[in-house]
Amino acid sequence: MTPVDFLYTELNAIAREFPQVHIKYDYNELIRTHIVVLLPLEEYRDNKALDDRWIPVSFRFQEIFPNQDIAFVSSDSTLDMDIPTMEWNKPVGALDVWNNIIYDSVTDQVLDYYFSTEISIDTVLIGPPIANMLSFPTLDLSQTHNTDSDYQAAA
Amino acid sequence: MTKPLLEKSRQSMLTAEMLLKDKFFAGTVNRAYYSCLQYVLHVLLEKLGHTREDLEKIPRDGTHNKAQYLLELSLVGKDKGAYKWIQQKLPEFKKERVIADYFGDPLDADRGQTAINMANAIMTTLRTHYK
Repeated sequence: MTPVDFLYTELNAIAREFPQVHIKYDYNELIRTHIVVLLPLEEYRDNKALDDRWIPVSFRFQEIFPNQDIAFVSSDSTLDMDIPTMEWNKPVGALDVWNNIIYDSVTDQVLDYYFSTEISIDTVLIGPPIANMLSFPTLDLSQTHNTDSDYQAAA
Repeated sequence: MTKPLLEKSRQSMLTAEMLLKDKFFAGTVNRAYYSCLQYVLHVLLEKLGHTREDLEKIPRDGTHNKAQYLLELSLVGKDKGAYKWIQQKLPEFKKERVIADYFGDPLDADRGQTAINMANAIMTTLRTHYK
């Protein structure tokens, strides 16, 4: 078991037991230390049950991996990170909710639209210069079908 | 002086203050950090009665890591709040020291003063719990 495997298992369990606690993890290369951020600060500072859960994990980690360092911190720490490599219970902000409402329906429509990969020859527009180069029969624009309609029909 | 690590810690802090006065800010951070680490070792050896052999037996790599681990084991039984604070502040301080020693531009006076304040805060916390 690697240090990250161990932390994934333990932090996953803590995240299930404390769904209100946002947990972030990253490895700080500068000080070669595994950093776990527990948020919000009030939970980290005041939640005694949370203390009793993560403190033994920290000591066990250091016993199992003697050449690895770890620190549990919160938002008031200079070790907090913007882009964690693992994250649990990330809170959904009001802006995220609105974005989901607005864009989910649009996304559904786009995903429902099927683009055919097969195009019949009479739907291809060939202009005179290309036709001359390829010696290919010319098609008037008036002879062509409505391309969008063809795609719609294919969908 | 019969407590060599306490004296080393004191001298490191005095050096940090002199370096700050002379505007050698990276050196200030370095000495403040080591003043703190020397004080941790003083607590372990003089206040908690550990020996150098005890320290060597700790299943951690490096003197700093062994010392921090042993200190945290003791502190968590005395005061969880202090333990939580120390286990956060020591790595933060280490980060400042690594940046000061190896990375970035010459630091400013604020960074130097902050490092001295950090070292003093950590040592004051330890003094409170290990009289």
